[in-house]
Amino acid sequence: MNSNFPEGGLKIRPENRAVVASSKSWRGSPTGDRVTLTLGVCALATAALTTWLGLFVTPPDQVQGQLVRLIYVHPAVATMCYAGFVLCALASLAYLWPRTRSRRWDRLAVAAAEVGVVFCVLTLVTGSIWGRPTWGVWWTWDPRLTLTALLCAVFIGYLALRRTGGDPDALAKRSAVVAVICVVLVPIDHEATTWWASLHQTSTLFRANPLIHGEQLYTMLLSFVAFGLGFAWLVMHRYRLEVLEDRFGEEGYGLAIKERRAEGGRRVGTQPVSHQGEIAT
Amino acid sequence: MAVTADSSASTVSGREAVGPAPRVRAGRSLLASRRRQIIAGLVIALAIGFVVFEGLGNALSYYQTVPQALAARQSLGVKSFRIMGTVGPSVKQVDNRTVFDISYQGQTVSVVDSADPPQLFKPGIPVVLEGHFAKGSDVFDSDLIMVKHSANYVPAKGEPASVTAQTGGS
Repeated sequence: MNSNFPEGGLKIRPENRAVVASSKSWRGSPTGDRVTLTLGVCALATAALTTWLGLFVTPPDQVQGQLVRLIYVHPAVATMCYAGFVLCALASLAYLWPRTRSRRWDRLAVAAAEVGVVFCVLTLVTGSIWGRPTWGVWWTWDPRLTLTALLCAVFIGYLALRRTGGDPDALAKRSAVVAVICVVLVPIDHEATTWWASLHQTSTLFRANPLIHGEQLYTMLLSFVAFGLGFAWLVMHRYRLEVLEDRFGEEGYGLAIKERRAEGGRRVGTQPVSHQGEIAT
Repeated sequence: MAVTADSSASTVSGREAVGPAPRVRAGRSLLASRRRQIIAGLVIALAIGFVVFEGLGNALSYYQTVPQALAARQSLGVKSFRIMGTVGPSVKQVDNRTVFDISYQGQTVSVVDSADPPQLFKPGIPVVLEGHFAKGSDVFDSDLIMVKHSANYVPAKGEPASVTAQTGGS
């Protein structure tokens, strides 16, 4: 076995490095460019500003005291989770629609779903951290929490489905249909606190007469901007990684065929080559 | 003359000497076999089934308000359920138990709680209690207190006036 290709590994052989090296389009980063750099810097800057405002400028809450500072993390993370799943479903619809069918929509769907699942897990974790000192429990089976857990589970199932292999086009169509079905849970989850009795609070912002004072509101909105920029940055990198994987797959097949031919020719009339030693000529 | 052959990039007689073919998209092989797909599908289906059964089964009727619970007092018996109300002005500690009332829409239930209340627990705050009515009385025996805070965010008293203005959100 070639030491450069351990069993199950994806280490790139020296002669294949050209495939990946040619993808290093910008300062050695195969998935980055000026847009992602700008997005990343802006995301970090707004996150830093949110942290400063959230921790040092905004006041404690009358009921929750210092615990209120989690409002600058949890709602924004949950919104990015929804954004990921909705974006996945929209891209899936575009893939299913014959006129717009393109591999790029399928790539966008998987990128958005993966980032959405990351934010969904973060939503459950930050919610649990907030819930323990405020409610008194880490977890309870109330409608909002249950539906969020279900949302996370079904999109993990969607990602597992994408890994099942088979005909790529059939798999992409199957996955797109599943994504469109799964996304129905998003509005149900969002409205769970108004439709059913729930321990989770109702929406602070999206209601008739919201009661939240100025600095808290602005800092909360800034947190949406910070996490939104981070979300976009992650989706763009993940999308480009999918492009690279496609490219690596296509060019890898070409190389594999070429190498098989080379092996065949070598068996006919060439001397054996030691991979690490010397050859006397 | 000796030529050093670097792992696989060497050339012999003008022909590329290469090793085994690359594993294309090796990372996608985790669920490649039918057996693994079935196992993964079963695990996910079980997880979703558990969440649906355990969660949605009682999540949609997560709690009953005080009037609803009192109206269903006979049918509830000593069955465990959740009740929601606002904590009354008097909270006492009696024999390591917390004794208080909860009320909602003018109706009140007396509560004896055997667990530690959460840190936000205080008179005037809405709570959801887990427990059951005591046998032969309308006293609620609680073994879990959960605080149900509102969606309003108001600065703590003593904060500067400039930050206490009510602001409409989006």
